Amino acid sequence: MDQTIVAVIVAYNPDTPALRRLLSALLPQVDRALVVDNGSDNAESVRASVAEFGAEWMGLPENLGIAAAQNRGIEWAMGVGASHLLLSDQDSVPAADMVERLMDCLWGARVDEVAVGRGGAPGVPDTSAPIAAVGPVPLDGRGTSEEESLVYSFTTWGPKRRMVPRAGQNLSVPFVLASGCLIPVEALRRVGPMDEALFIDHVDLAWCLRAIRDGFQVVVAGDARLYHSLGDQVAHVPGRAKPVHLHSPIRNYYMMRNTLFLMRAPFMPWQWKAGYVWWMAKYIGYYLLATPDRGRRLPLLVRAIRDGLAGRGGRLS
Amino acid sequence: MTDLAIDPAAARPPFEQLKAQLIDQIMRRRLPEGTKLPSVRALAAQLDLAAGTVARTYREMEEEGYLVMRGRLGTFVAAVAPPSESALERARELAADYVAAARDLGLGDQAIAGLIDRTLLGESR
Repeated sequence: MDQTIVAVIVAYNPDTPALRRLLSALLPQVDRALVVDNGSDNAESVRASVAEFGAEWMGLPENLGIAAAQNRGIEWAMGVGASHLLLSDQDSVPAADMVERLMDCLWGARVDEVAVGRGGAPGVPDTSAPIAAVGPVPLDGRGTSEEESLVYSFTTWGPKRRMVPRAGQNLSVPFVLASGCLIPVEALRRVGPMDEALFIDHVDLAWCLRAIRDGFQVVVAGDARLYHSLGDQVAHVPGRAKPVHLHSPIRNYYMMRNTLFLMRAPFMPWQWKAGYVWWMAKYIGYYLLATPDRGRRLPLLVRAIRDGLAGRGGRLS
Repeated sequence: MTDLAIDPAAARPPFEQLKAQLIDQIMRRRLPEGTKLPSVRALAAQLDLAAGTVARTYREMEEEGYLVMRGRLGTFVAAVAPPSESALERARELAADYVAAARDLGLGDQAIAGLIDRTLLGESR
């Protein structure tokens, strides 16, 4: 079988030791790898690490956002004859057999179950649909166990953390995180590129929802593992057992604006739109009432709502 | 360290099995930063491996930044989480303060950058 797996790693001001750990774990698992540097301050040391590992390097003049960087990398990968793309961020480490397990899932094309929460959900695909993307079980080192990993299920009101795949189980899900996910090039041709207007947050969610609308499914392979070392601070919110990742004010802007973008999209069921309105209300309430520097957060949140409703995308200027 | 197990019959060589299992435990914080690992000989005896296999695993994992070897003190788990967004923001502020203060003292940009390089490399070298 003729297959060429090309890894596309997007880096922006990466921690060089973390990037090197990623490269040493991922490179033996793929045919070629490209690091797209999104205008990092430390671009030269990134380039040196990449060269040392024998990967390819592409430098973008400034931070064009995750979606644009992924698209430039994907175009390059398709140009060199990729049959499959493996997307990665800069601070994940794949298990030594992650790509093999993802490919097993893709070749076997056996999806055991659709992850649907109690009460059912709109827009759920069939387990016989072709696979647009298959992702690993992400382990972030804080929850340390599979049960707390970021795997999302279909629920009435949107994607929520309800189920995680058991060992050996392939679970059909509403979306997978871009990092560590494997995409067959034919699926990418059919679904189209990443949405560059989103710039950073929800790029993977939007792409996966489009893929599902186009008749594909998105799968998490229970045997594939990705270790993710989230650098963000976490906070405990009263009434919630799980720690919450604390976003910076600028992340608040993108999360808010891009959620509004998603709600405008035709592939979003109305129940999910309602779910996101509720989520946004909680998000604004939490960041304005319970976190420091609300003085910086408020104007950015207001602007996010204005830009989101007006459909103004791209980078926050 | 008790849940390490090497299967001599597996297709993956023992060295790779040991490395994958140690990385799994470090990345999931089951072996948190600062944990002291057994000596090469002790771990080799525990897992019924050649000492050279364990030594090679430790050496590669040190090069990749998972472990720190402190000579006779032993081998320790390194910090693997990249700095947080807020730590980076604070470091950027400190860097800006340093540059501004050094310019006030009359230093040129090359001298300012040179001092940082020297500090990173350690003054003695």
